[in-house]
Amino acid sequence: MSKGSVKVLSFWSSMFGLRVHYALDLKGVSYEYQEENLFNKSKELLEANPIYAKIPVLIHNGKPICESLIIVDYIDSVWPNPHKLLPEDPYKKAVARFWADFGDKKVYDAGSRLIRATTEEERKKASEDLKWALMKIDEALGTIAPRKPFFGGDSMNFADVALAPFICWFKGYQKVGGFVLPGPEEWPNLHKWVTAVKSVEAIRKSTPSEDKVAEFAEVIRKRAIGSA
Amino acid sequence: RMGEEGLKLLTFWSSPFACRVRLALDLKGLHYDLQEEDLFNAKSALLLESNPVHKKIPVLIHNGKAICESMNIVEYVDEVWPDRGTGFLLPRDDAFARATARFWADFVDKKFLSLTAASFKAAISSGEEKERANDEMIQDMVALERFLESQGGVFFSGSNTSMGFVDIAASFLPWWLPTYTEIGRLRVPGPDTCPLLHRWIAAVKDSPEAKAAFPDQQELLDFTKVRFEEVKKRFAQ
Repeated sequence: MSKGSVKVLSFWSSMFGLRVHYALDLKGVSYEYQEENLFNKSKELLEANPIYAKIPVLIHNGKPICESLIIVDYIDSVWPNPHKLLPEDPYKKAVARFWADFGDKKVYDAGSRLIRATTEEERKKASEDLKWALMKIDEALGTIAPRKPFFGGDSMNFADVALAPFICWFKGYQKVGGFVLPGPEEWPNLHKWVTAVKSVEAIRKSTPSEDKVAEFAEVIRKRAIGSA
Repeated sequence: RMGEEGLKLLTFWSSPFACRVRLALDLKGLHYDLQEEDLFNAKSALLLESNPVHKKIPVLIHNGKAICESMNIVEYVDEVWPDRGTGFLLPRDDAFARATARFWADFVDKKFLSLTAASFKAAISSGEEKERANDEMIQDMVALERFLESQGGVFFSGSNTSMGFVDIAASFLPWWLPTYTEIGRLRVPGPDTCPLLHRWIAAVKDSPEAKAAFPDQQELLDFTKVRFEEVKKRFAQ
């Protein structure tokens, strides 16, 4: 399975980093992992990602690839089997990419604002935006893969990998932002999807504890309030 | 005129996102219907049906299916018609080169088409804050210059004659830079600091496909001047 040396620079609670872990683990690719201290970034990280100095970075045979979705795309190209993540059909591929991008633009953005909100008005708006975004995902699951657990049907695809990392942050969104996820009666598809994702062994491997993430979310909020 | 395989692009004349998709379609030599959307008054039923999540243009409709998000559309077009027109836009056989192209297309989006970009902040702010953001924007353009240099050709694709994925992503810049300087009152690096970028700008402006895809410069300036006042009010702290 080896195709040269594979190294991941990331941070344990990063949703973007988790996408990379999920992709590699679903494909059974072995890799070296380096945890970065985001307040004291390694020389290696700064050299590998001079433009943004951010994690995750994948270093494959000494060459760095940056930006989580670009990394996942790259992984899928280099290690297409097992577990191809991007559909062959160009339209289905475009749909998968759309929902991955939606995760960044709408879910991550709202969640990030929720945790860092310094006023009740900000918190309320972020909470509503997050609710809207997750509702859209519930609807999309019903339309794209009706009666199937994943966007990819019976197994996870590019969109599932892009969105799955948010699951371990729900507790943090609740604890810090007061965001309560509507139940399965309201959002049956989303809940079915969450259960299915959590049952995948490769996903469980690198997903951090939800309680630890919630604690970390609290730290982020304190810092955001402190600097407001 | 009937579009090829039912190809239709929902567009808006002054949208950099829509214009760059038009450029990609034209470089591929594809025939399509163009539907100009009335974004300020009433979005068409087709737009709302095709892009119910974002309700934004551009949207490409192909055989009744809708593809949204401009660079996503460009990738789709490249996959469905890889050998048409000027050929493939993304590097075919090299996963690392593809990842590099996607990275720089994304860089252009983050730095010049996003509300969190230094370029935007510089345009709407004033005083020291404006100057600092403007300096950051110049650094972003220098980064583009360095990447262009590493590619070894006139275009970001590395070719002296054909545009690729990153060229299409950045293709709006030759028309939008004058709006930065004249309306945003921003400094942009000149040919002394960014000679290759200026050569690229000239080459893009010379391209018949780009000229057809992008709006008349003066019309764009006039339109942007009006919109800018509204935008400033909305985003100024």
